[in-house]
Amino acid sequence: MGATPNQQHPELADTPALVSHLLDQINQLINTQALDQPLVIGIHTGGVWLAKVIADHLQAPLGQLDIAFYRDDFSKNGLHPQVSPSSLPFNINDRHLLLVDDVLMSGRTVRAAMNELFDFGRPASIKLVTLCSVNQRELPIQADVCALALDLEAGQYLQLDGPENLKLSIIEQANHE
Amino acid sequence: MSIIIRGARLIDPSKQLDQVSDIHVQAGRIKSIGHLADQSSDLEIDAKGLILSPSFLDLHTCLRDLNQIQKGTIASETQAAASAGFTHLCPSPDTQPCSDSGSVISLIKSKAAAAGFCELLPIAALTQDLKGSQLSNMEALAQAGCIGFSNAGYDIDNNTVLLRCYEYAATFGLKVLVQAQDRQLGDGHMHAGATATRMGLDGILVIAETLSISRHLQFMQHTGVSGHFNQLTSAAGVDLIRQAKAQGMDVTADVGIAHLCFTDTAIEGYQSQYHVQPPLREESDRKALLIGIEDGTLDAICSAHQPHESAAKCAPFAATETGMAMYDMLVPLIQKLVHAGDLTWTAAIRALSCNSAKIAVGTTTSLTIGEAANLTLIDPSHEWALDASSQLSRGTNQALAQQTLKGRAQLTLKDGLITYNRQY
Amino acid sequence: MSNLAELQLTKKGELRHFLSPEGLDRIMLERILDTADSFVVVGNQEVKKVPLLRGRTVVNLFFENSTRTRSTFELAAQRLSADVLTLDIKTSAASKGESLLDTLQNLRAMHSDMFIVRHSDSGAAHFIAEQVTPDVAIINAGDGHHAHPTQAMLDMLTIRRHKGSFEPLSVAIVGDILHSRVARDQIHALKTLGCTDIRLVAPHTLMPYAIESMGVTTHSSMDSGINNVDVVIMLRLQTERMTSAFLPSAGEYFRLYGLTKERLSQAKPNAVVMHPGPINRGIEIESAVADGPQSMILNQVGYGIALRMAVMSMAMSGQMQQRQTEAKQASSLTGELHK
Repeated sequence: MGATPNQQHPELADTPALVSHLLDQINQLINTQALDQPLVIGIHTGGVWLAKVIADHLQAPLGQLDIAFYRDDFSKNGLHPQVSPSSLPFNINDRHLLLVDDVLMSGRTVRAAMNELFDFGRPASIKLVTLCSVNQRELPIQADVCALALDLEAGQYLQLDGPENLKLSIIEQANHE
Repeated sequence: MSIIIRGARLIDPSKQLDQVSDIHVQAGRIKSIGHLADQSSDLEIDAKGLILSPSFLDLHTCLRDLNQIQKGTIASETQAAASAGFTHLCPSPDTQPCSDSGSVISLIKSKAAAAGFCELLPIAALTQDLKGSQLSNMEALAQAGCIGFSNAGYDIDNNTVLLRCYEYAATFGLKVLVQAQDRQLGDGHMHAGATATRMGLDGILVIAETLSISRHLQFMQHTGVSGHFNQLTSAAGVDLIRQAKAQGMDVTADVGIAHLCFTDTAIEGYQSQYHVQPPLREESDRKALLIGIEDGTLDAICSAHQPHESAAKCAPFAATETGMAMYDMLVPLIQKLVHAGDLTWTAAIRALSCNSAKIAVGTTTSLTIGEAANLTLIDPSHEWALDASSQLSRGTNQALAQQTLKGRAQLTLKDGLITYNRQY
Repeated sequence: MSNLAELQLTKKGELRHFLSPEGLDRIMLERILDTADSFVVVGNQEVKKVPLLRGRTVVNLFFENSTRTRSTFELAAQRLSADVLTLDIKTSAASKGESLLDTLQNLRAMHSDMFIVRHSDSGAAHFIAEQVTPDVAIINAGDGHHAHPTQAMLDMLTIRRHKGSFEPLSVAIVGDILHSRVARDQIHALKTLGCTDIRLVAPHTLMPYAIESMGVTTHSSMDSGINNVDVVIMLRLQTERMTSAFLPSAGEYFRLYGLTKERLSQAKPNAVVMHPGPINRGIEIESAVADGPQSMILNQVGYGIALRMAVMSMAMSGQMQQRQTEAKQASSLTGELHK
């Protein structure tokens, strides 16, 4: 009888510490890459909560994306009816974007987000910021900034609870949405 | 060939006969009826549990052929009719070309004779080409063997022309048959009711039928013509016939087997198999038609057989052709009504045989020693599947296709000769 | 023989044809409206296009003229990034049936994914979905006098967005109900979504027989019909009704059934006015009302595009899932044969 998944990864328990570490890394990135006036864009849902924290910290404009219409599994899983509006209250042309998601796993969500962003305009650059990276890529996409990388077993997924008191935990599910 | 049928339930409505007995057919006639253990014949049939009755006569049917062979031929359709117990058929004049000339009548009669399944007693067109404006050569057509005149499903608008038709028919004592539905009010595709409204299909009101019946009754009364109404559909229509008979009028009426069995709800889902003219109406109408048969207001049941090729029914509902192929499923449908308690075999046989014969040729059919042996042997409990291999009609518009049916004719004799034999 | 529920849904209950709201349950209708809501948002963005139907072919099959409906479907399909092909086919009365069958058989060879069908025969869309091309998603753009589901559902969307829930509402539908394909679908949708007071207003010549059996009340006068209602839906009156013995004149119709400001005041003060369009000013509705503050007529147009995007994506998704399921079943069968 082994430990629960959350017991196996005790570093997840202190999510605020991870977020704080992430913010430090973002500061460093902005300085070393000279990203002038970046825009922060969160991917619904967990990425949006995280993006708000980042935007507040940077005093930067905030936007959000719902990638429901850009997913690649439309023919298999259909359309989820509850789509929250994508909202980019700024022009992204020639701007530096910080694209934020809570967990980077297969890479498909980020692929969809980038496709959607390019329907809005042509940014100067996109840096991918993610709180956690799970090593199960199906596409060649990597985070520019990541607070924690870990391995999970089949059937295990990372979930961020919010919007207040952000907390990461591992859940086990047959069919993850 | 002589035949003895042993142990069948003999039903002869003309004599109120309903009893198990043997029957011996020889030289085309009924030789004897009774307990015939000592008699023998070329063919002996054990008919225990089966029903034997006088054969059926159909007052309304479409055999197609001529310019419509894709729908059916006289050979195929008379064979189908024989398999449903019919020996005599009155084909409707809406053939193509129209049955308004002696040559068409002779042609269809000889084709039927050559096929050898049923004898035709054709109904000729009341007006030339059924157009409703010129009288047809009624006397000559009667000489050619027509037993009556009808304008089929094309009610004549012009009252003056209609009056002339009736007067001319009265001159020679000819019978007029009417499919009573007002031309303009009949411009629809199904019964006007809740189902039609929900399906967005143009409906035909009951008054389309009753207006026409009233009109024709008055013409019949005025001219003294012996009239017959084909294919009643409504309770109100039955009431009008009942009243006319109560007043002593010489008028008769029939109902199509489909209208005794189905209602407008069968059309749900745009089932074009049930697209018929005149239309199937509501359950209250169906019940009234059944009562009409039981109490004699409606004298006869006809098949209204109208076979079609598959393309005719393969389109949005209103664009499909009307009519059902009825012969293959007629006996099972009767059996179903009997089983449900809606009809007795005696009433059914009276309606399919005795009364229809009286209307067509003036004499009833019966099981009488010395008379021509026109007989039908039915097994009411025979279960069988209706499909492409078992159906005899060429029509693909079989509403009960791919279903297991109960009830089937086993043998049909015309003048003592076998015209249909399922197993012997 | 399939009923409308069986015909429109996959075995898993996903939409795969959209023929009529009849036969669909409340949950499905609300899903359609929810999905449409999200497409309204897309319609308000600068980039109005999403890639959902990219690579799919949508064919507009209009056997009956309708520039408006056709162009909104075209626009909806394009906003979903689909390839759109429009075929205007005029069929002669004599060859109706054959042409439809042959036309569709020929189209099969083009491997389209979706047909948007408008036809003058009631039941045409049903016929196509059931008997001709069950594997191509069929969206009914109007068949005879029977159904016009996308119009009815965009009307429901309009009502929901401006009035909230359907239970407490009184809705009046006014005009040529007899010839209206929209009215029947509006009734089905309203009832399923919970509305209990649906009133039809028309002279007897324009009121279908036995329509009370659909769960509505009928009224010959506007006064009783629209008294205190929350929603007034005006239907278009075609000029041929005056020349084919349904009505004496446009003037008399407007006098008795036209929606004027005065008449509208008999409805609730915040009642909304709707019309499927195109409107006949001065015949069924007066300009002051059509252009007035209670009118939702222009909103309906925008919602129409969103609603059509919603049903098209849902039906396409259902069809594709169905194809996948069937392919899996087929391959598992052949797998077993090889065992």
